[in-house]
Parts: sequence; C-alpha cells; structure tokens
Amino acid sequence: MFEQIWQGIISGLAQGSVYALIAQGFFLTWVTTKSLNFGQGEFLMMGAMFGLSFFGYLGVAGLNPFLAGVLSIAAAVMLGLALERVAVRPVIHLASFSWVLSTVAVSIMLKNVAVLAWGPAEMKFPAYVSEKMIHISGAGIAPQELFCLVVSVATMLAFFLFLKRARLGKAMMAVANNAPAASVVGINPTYIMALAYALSSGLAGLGGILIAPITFAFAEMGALIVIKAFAAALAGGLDNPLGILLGGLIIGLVEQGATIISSDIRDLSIFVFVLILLAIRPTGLMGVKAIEKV
Amino acid sequence: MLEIRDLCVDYGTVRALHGVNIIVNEGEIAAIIGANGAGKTTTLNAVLRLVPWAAGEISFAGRSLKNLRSHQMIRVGLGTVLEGRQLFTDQTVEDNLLLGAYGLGRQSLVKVKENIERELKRFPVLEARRRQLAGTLSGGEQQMLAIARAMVADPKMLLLDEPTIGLAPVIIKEVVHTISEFRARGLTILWVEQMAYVALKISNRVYILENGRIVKEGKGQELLNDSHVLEAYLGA
Amino acid sequence: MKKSERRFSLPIFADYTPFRFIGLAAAAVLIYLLPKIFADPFFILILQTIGFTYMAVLGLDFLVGFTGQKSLGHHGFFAIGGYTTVLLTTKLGWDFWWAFPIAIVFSAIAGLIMAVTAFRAKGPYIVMVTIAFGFVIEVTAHRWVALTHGPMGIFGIAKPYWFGSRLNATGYFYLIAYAALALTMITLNVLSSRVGRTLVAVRESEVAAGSLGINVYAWKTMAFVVSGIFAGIGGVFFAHQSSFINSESFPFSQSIMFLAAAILGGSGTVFGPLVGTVLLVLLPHIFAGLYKYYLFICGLILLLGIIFFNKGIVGSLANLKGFGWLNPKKPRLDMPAEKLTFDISVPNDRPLLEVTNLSRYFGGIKAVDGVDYELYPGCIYGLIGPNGSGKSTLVNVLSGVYQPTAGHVEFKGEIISGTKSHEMAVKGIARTFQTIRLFRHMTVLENIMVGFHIHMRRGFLGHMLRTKATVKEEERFMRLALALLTRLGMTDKADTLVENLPYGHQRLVEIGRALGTFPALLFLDEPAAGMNSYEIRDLREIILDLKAAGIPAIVVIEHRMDLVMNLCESITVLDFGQKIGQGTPSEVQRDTKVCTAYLGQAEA
Repeated sequence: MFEQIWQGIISGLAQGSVYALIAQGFFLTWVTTKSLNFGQGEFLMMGAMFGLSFFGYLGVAGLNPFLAGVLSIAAAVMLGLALERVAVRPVIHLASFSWVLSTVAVSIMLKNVAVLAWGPAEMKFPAYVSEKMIHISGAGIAPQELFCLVVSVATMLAFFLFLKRARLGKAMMAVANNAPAASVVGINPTYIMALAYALSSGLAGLGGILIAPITFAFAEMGALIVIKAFAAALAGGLDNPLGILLGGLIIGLVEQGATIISSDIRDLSIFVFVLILLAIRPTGLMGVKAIEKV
Repeated sequence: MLEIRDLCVDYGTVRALHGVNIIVNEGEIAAIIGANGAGKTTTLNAVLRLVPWAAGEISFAGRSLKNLRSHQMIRVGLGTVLEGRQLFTDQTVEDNLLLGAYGLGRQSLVKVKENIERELKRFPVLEARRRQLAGTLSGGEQQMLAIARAMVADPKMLLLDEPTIGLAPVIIKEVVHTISEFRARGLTILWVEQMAYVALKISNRVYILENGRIVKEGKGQELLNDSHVLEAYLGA
Repeated sequence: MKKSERRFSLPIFADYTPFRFIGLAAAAVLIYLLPKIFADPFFILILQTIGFTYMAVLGLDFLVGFTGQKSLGHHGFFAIGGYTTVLLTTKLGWDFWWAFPIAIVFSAIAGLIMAVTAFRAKGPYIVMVTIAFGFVIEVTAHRWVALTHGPMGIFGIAKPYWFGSRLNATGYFYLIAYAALALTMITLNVLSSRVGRTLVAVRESEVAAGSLGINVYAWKTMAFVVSGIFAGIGGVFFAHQSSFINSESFPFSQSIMFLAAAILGGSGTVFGPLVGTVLLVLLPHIFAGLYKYYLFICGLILLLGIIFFNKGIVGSLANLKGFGWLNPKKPRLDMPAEKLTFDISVPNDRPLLEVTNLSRYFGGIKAVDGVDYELYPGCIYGLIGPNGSGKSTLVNVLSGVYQPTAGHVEFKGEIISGTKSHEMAVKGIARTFQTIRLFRHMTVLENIMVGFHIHMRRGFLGHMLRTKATVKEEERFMRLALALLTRLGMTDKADTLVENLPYGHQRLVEIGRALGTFPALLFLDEPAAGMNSYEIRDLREIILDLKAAGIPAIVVIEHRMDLVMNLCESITVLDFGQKIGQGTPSEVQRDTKVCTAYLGQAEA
C-alpha cells in the first residue's frame, strides 16, 4: 500500500510536470499576445515524432541522445515560428476568437502529416535512460518518470530565471505587462510575439520527448494531454508561471489518486476538480485578479 | 525639430484630428492643451505611430516618421512618457530603467549602467527604492521613474502626455521644475497637459486643441493674459 | 470617410415583417422540395445532418455571437439531449414524443449548471469551464456503462412516430428541417426585440448594462440555458438518425466543429450559422475521396477561411454591392411632436441623498476617505477636483459599481449602502461614464431603448411568439425614445450607429440612455469631455432643460469650469478622497484651498 502510494505520487508528479511544462507555453503566449496554441498537444506529438526519427528508431543511424533531443526541440521551435507567422499573426487583431480556430486548424493539419510520415500506429519510444526500476523502500520507481520530473522542473526553473533575470526575458515580461510602454522604450512587439511562440513550441517539443517513453509515441498522443495542460494552466492561474507549475503537479496527483481509487474516474476527476476550483477562485489558484477601472 | 503638418487621424469612421499643424523648435518647450477628448493624446500617439495617420506628415530632425514603427522611435531620438505613467509595474525600478535602455540599441553594458546610475542620481527618491516594484511607488515617484526611463536612452526630444495627472500640487511643482531643467540642458520637449495654467507658465509655445482642431496658438506668456483662454481653461 | 456598414446582423428591434414572412415561406417551400429534387438516400442523410447540426450551431451562436460568451462544451448538450430520448425510448419504452420534452428539460438544467459554474469566470477561464463541462459529460457517458452502455453503445433506436406511422428518412428530414425552421423563427423574433438588445448590451458593456438595471448574471444564465436547449434538441435528432449510438458519438471535436461553423459562417448574423453548418458538414464529404489527405485539406481550408474571411463568410459578403437587399429594413420613425417630460416624485421634507462618512479603499489607496455629502431635489450640483481626487470613485460607490468600505448612504430615506449596480436603476439613480460606454454596434434609437429596460414588462414568451401585446409595447417605447431624442435635439440621428457619431453626440446619447430609467438622481461623469465651447453652451441648455422637464437632481462631475461655474448651483470639491470645499460657484472660486489644489490661480 505504502509502495503504491509512493509510486502513484512519483507518477502523478511526473505526468503533472509535463502538463505544467507545456502549460508554461500557454502562459508565455497568453501574457504577451493574448492568444495561445490550442494545438500545443500536436506540437508535443511532433517533438516525440522527430525524436523517434532522430533517436534512430526508424533505422537511420542513431545520433547521440542528447543531440537527438536538441534537434527534436529545434524542429518544434521551427514549427512554432511557422505557426505564429501563418496562423496567429494574421488573425491576432481580429474578433476575439479566431486564433482558437486557426491554431486548431494547424493542429489538424499536423496530425495528418504525422500519420502520413510515421503511420498511425503506437510506437515504442527508445528508452534513453536505463529501464531498470529503482527501488526505494520497496517501491519500484521508473527512472524515466524520475527523469521526466527532474528535467521538467529544472527546465521550468530555468524558464523562471530567464524571465526574471535575462534582458530578453525582462523584455518579454515588459510586453506582457504593458505593450505600448514596451514599444515606446524600443522593444519590438512582433519579435517578442514570434519568440513567445517559438519558446512555447520548444517547451511542447521537450514535453513530447520526455513523455513518449512512458506513453508511447503516436499521432493522437497530444489530444487529451493538451486539454489537461490547459486545465493545469487555468487551475494555477494563466498569468502566473509558478501557479502553473503548482497547478500541473496538483492535477497530475489528482489524476493518479483517482486512478488508484478507480480507473473509471481518472479523466473525470481532473475536470470535476477544475470546475470546482474555478467556481471558487475564478482566476485560478495564483492568478491575478484584475480590477476593471470604471 | 518636430514638424507635424496637416495631420488627420480617424478612429474607425470618426475623424479625431482635422489637419493639425504643430512645430517644435530645437531647445524649446511646446505644449498642447485642451479639454479631455479634444485629441491631445491622439496627437502624441500619432507621432509615435501608435495610431495610423489618415493624412498628413510628421517629420523629426528632418526625416519623415511615416515609415517608422513605434518601437523604432526611441532609436531616432524620440523619448516618451506616456499618459498614466505606464510603468512596468511588475518589475523593479532598476529593471524599468534597464528596459528603458533598450532604446540605446547595442551599447556596451558599461554605457547602460552609466546612464542608469545617472538617472538614479538625478532622482534620489528612485535611488532609495531601486529594488522596489514599480507598482508600489507613490504617484509622484512613478512619474519620476517614467521620466527617468525615457531619459536613460539619451533622447534628443521628449514627449510627455499629461505628466501632472493625479499628482499633489507640490509634486507637480517638482515635475514642472524637472521639465524646465531639461530645456536648460538643451532637450526639446513637447507635452500635453490638462493643467493649462502650468503649461502656459513655462512653455515657449502653446497650442490649444478643441475637437481635433488647433483653435489658438501662441507664446505661453501671451496666452496667459488672453481672456477667452482664461475663462475656458482656468475658470476665471 | 467610409461609413461603417451594418452587417447582416440580426435586426435588433427593426420591424422586418415582409422579409420575415417571405423569407420563411420561401424556406419552407425549399425544404419541401429538396428531397424531391435530390432523392438519393445518402444525400437525405446529409440533409438531416445539416439540420440537427444547424440547431446546435444556432444555439452556440446565440451564446457566442450575441452574448459574447465562449463555449467549447456544447457537445455535452448534444449528448444529454441524445442520451435522454434514446434511454427513455429504448430502456423504458417511452414514446418519443414524451421523451422529447424531458430531453429539453435536462438540457435546460445542464445549461443552468454550466452558467452557474461559469458565473464569475472571464475570458479563457470561461472556455475552460465549458471544456471541462463537456468532458465531464463525455467521460461520464464512457464510464457509466450501466446507464449508457459506454463504448458498446445502444442499439435498436427507432425513429419517432408521426400520426400513426414511423417516419422514414425523408419524413425524418422534414421533421428536423421544419423544427429547425421553427427554432430559427423563434430566434429571429427573440433577438430582434428587447431580449436581443439586452444580450448585445451585456456583451458590449456589462458595466453600462448593469447601470441601466440589467441583471447581467441572470441574462447570461438565460443565454446559456437557451443555447443548451437548442443544442440538446439537435442532439435528440442526431441520436435518432441511425439505430445506434455510443459514448464515442459525442467527442470534443464536435464542439470545435460547432464553433468553426459559427465563426466561419459569420458570428452574430442571420445566415451565418446556416452557411457555416452547410460548409462544415459538406467539407469532409467533398474530400472523402482523398482520404489520406482529407484532414489536412479540411484543416487548410479552415485556416484559410479564418484568415481571409475575418468576419465570417456572411459577414464579409455584407460589404459587397448587390447584397444590400438582405439587410433589414429600417424602422419607420414617425416624428412625434411632443417632447418627453419626466414625472418623478420625490419626498420633499428630507435630503434626496444623504452620505455619511463614506469611504472606499483599494488595498492601501484611500480613493474616498470619510466624505459627507447631501443632495436636495430641485438643484443642479457640481463635483470637481483634480484627476485622482476620488470623484469617479464616489460616483461609482453611489451607483453601486463598488460597495463602500465604510460609511452610510441613504436615498429617498432608504438605506442603500451595499446595493448592487443593477438595483440602483430601479431605486432611481442613473449615471453616465467617464469613458463613454455606449453599445457601439447599436443605433442611437436602440441604445435609448435599452435605457427603458426596467420599464418594459413583456416577457420572454411574448417575444418568442411576437404577440400583439409585445409589438405594441415595443412601439410605445419607440415613440417614447423618439420623444426623448426630440428633447435632446437628436431625432435626425436616430438610426445612426453610435460608433459613427462624433464624440460630443455620443455623450448626449449616453445621457439620453440614462434618462430612460426615469431617474430621481442623475450623475453625469465628465459630460463635456471632448466638446468645444459652442457645444458646451448647448450642453448647458440641455441640462437646464432637463431640470425644467422634471429630473429632480443632477450632479455634474467636470473639469470644464466654463460649464460648472455657469450651471451648477452648489459645488463640492474633492482632493485626495476628501471634501475640501463646498458652496456656490463664487464661494468656491474664492476658497484658497481649492485654488491651490485645483484651480491654480493663487499659486504660482
């Protein structure tokens, strides 16, 4: 029982950390552009797919795993830049919604491309960390999950540091805080917008590589994950990256907890949790409540 | 230095500015006064290309601003203090100044640091609060920071939009004093002001805007004695 | 100067009778003929699909296009409607026509639940709530196998009986299509009336709508419920289309499709939902042959459609020549000769408004700090002070936008501290706003009509069926609105979209709209902003005229001294949230504290 709980906690945190990781992408594009990539799940999937190829699964000479990972993420970043240019920039100034549909449209296209290029079947992703279970006081913990958790959290911490300390990070937060003022001090908003989507997609790609060894890689893998990541983002507060980290971890734990009780209510638990949370705190756990000036 | 010629600006289908002409000579302070909604802020926003021009031309230091975008203005030497301060409220005083230095372009870190220290010396209240979040400063301190942030980038001309809003009279005196000081050091200034009296007192040239049109212009001191102006804007 | 075109939006308020009857009759005939022309059974199935999908899209657009609330959870209503009738007919043996109203009730309850959970959420948070809602229903259908048979599904679903015999495919299509036509007619009726105006008002400015007595939450809830009912009905017809459904029949992608249809077709227009639905239902079938690439192509077309038709297909067509005849007919505006007078009674023996030690803090900021204030009927008051002195906050507290942090407000002898904004209008307090909050996509007349909201009595049913009594009420208030406009001298602008008016005229319309509540106390927040000296002279006349016409007390908050000093009988001066001066214009002008803080004469 005790071991089950430990395993459940680590699994939950690992899954949750990936939700949080891709949700940070939502945060970044939302605060800087008031839009987000509803197809973030497909970007996660593309990261996993590119990873498959670069890791040598398809018979191509295997590259050094680290290099393969970096290339996969770079590919996701390129896709993100293309997304911003093609599906976000043309519609960002229009009726409040169009970016939802345009990013969804791109995700539909990407899914088709993935099926054509890699086939629809579920594929085992090569394990790039040891597959032997680590045993801590009787509980068997998968190293991949631990790796997932550690890398996600480390990346997010690096991300927070970037936003707080780096000149470019501060510039992005300046645009998020006050776009006209940012223009006036010389920050190019278009450049920041593209950068936000590039980073957001890179995070999704990384998420794909981290989670694929656990869940298999297949064209549909992104669909449910993106909704859960969105839930994590909103539960934590869409404009607070720390809140998102927290939201993701909590959702991961809720999901695991529910699975232990009954696998039937696993998906249900997340959404019921979010509904109750948002009813009590309409801007999420740590979201900023904006006061409208009348 | 700044020349606005026959400027027209539309908001949707409504014309907000009808052929506005304003000239600001180098080393002078020019002011635009007028009631709320008359088009004062729209004029400044047009200079900064924050709103599109329906017609007309604006040139700065001899070059047209038509093909420039808002974030390029500081690079050509046009610094701005927006209405309502518009600070980066979630960042520290220091970081606001650091961001102000974006306008210096690819300058050495040393130069950036120099300018930031210079501004902090100019406004000792800010020096004392350099690591405080900008959103927690008082109104007057925020105004100082907004001005400092614009000055960090060594602009040739400063645009100010209603720098006295919400400030106590004694702080207003300080702000106005700072503006006069800038002129003494050779900075060219165009400001938009709701406290007509204050603007008239220190400006070389004043333009009165009503309903998107310049209805009167003249030397600051002269207009102070004009009865129509006194009644409409000073309540006498 | 380009005039802003009116899109094929639903004609709010306009009388479009000829269009309505001809249009609906033509549609009815077309529906009858369609299966005769295209007798192919596969095509009939597609027609059925277009029919019930349209119902869901219509319902969604009611929410998105008019109320401005976003939903990606409508597949949940589809599921509730469908499962209700299917379970009642297959498991309990009920007749379809008894199960159908139950499905409507359950959909309504679901809509209510969605509204309540989305109560305070805004923007992306509302989207999340609706997504979660839809998923809860979808997952419940999957997992509650005892009830729904989950993925294994329910077989043996039969089409409903119609006068003794089971409907065949064509008959079923007729049922769906005529039901859809009825729903369309109801929607058109409802939206081109007080209901439509109120929903658009809520979308354009919740704050302004509240100040006119509109209970924003109640109306948003109503919109969710109606929207849910429409989608539920669509779901019923979807479920009985074939003899089998399972929990995979209602995926999240359905909600995406509904939204895409609504937006691509043209949100908030008459024909938008139909055009969008036809497009999205036919699209996959057109490209089904390219099965390997068809998702890609569908996605590409959706993307291009969103980019190039930024107002939706119908919305973008509206600006082309030759389509003008589809726009609604303009309302007949007979000019009444009389000007509106206000018959408002107030107690004479006490102050109209008595404010004691009122404070309003925002965190550490003392926006209003211990203010005492008294207003008597029969007077025009002024409220002045520098920007940031608390004038607007004071008005916001007195009009219910904010609640007081401390202190006491009495109006007409009744304690009103703590009253919410939409209740203030009924009590008799109205206001205009510092930044104009008109309903920008409505005409002047329509804006004024919203002002009459609290006086209009006819209910939802009356609007749905466009009863004689409802039409009479609309006409009565239209005449009243024109009389009001005559008083303000703006009758020639009655049919202009307010966003096309110059600033000064917009302010007048806002005043007129507030007058529609027949207030005992009217706050005008910077009414002269944006006006030149001539317009100010006119405004002064208008305000004096309003006093003569019977408005008991008017408070003018202003910076323009040429208005305040020449109009107001008693002036209060605020600075840093406190009262620093009070008196007649000449007294205030001679007060040194006031001059130092604000007028700037005595101080160098």
